[in-house]
Amino acid sequence: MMKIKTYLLLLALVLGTTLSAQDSIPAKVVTNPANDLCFRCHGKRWYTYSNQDSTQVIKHKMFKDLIIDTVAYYHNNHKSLTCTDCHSTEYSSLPHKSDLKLEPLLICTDCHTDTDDVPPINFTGITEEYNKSVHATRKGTNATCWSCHNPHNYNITTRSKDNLAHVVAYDNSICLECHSGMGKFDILYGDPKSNLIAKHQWLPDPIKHFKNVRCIECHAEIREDVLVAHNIRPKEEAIRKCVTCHSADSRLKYSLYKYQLAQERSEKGVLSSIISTQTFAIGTNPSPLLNLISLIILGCAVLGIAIHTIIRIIKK
Amino acid sequence: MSGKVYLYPIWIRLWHITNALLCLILIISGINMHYASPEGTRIRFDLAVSMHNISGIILTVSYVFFFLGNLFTGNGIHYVIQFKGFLKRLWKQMYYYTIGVFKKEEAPFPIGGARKFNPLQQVTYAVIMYFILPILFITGWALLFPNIIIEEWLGINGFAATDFLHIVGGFAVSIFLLIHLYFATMGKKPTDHYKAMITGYHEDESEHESTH
Repeated sequence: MMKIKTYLLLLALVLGTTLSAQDSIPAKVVTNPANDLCFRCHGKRWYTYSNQDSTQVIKHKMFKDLIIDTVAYYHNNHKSLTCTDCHSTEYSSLPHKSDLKLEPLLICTDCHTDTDDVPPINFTGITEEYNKSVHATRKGTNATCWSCHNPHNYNITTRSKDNLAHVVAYDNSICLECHSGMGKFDILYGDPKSNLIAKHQWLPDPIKHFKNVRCIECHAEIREDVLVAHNIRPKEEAIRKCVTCHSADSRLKYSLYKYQLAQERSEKGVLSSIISTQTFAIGTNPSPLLNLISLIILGCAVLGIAIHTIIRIIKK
Repeated sequence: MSGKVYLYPIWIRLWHITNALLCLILIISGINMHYASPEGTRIRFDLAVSMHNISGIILTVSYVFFFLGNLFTGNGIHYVIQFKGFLKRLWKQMYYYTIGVFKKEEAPFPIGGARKFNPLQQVTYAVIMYFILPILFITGWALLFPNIIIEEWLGINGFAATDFLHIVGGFAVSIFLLIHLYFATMGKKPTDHYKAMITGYHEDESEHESTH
């Protein structure tokens, strides 16, 4: 019997290791040769070109905002696109004409429209919500979709249910890109004004919250028909009441957990989703069945004590 | 008139009252967190969290004190169950509580210097103190430092499973406390056991046993 148990344990370990090893093998990256010419310069920090008259090779540093991380590009949602699908075809000629800098940039909704995807992203709703947000209404922000969603390395996480921690980290990194305030200068001089932890010190454990929920959970207004809230509110309107999230009817169920809960309920049923989801925060998922069982046990104990007391009094 | 025996030394009484108060705070704050609601008018959530965390930490220290006290004094012996004939003794005690007490029968295992707990108390206290409370401490400290919790095991969320064990353990302690408070009224007079836990002196019921 022990031998069988040992064998099964070893088998499970081997299978588990093999399966996890298979998971970790990266998929082969498919590149687009049509982009090679662009990435020859824009995929590097330094680019070179030859002076046709003197045949001299000239080396220049690429402007930071014009460098594309090619590895990230071929892993992003737009990887199938050719550069000139979004940028002018005139960029194919070198050197680029200077007036191309005035080329108007596309925004998400120039390509993305509302589809029947479930749950719907609702681009129209996102645009409406964004136009109400501080990013759109506050003077001097000049924000566009690209300010947060870099089209060259963007990976949509709203329909990911496998790794909620990754969704949180990815989405929060978008906010922290501007709001961490920890530029090189701040890191060197430790500017206390930019310390996000200090600003969120009122939370029982700020770091735990940063790791487990997105900034938008407290800083954006939820609209039911929009998959990801885009109406970022002024800091004075941020949620500071714990029970908004830590309660049975948690706000997180309508934001961060929305997609995961819908998927797990449809796949496993309501009961399984209670214990198998990653959607856990204290107070958010009291099981109605367990609550009922505990009330019955408590009721029986109280009733037993009451009956015992009455008989004791009668028999006194 | 029967004599009194000094049954509860000062360290036990201090530990007992500390334990009782902390358990009460933990139960009240725990229920507040479990049934938290935006419309609720109970204790504020962040306050309940702080109350629960601080009380839990103090209870752990208090438990270490109790554990060492039991290890280095004679008190620990009262928790050691003699398994031979235990079920028979347990049944006898249960019979007394459910029927015998109403027939004015004498307690089958009277309390005295040599025996502090009847078999039912012994098994209940041993389970609560050496099984349920350690589970509560382990899961409670894990929830205090969630980074140490395994995120997922066999498709079960580690946080949810830890929280589940903590809540079930907490519920068991709550039910125990309720029944414990009631059974404490089962002395000769309903207040006898309560007084004994304050003064340390308990009526030596075993004297009746010897005169039987």
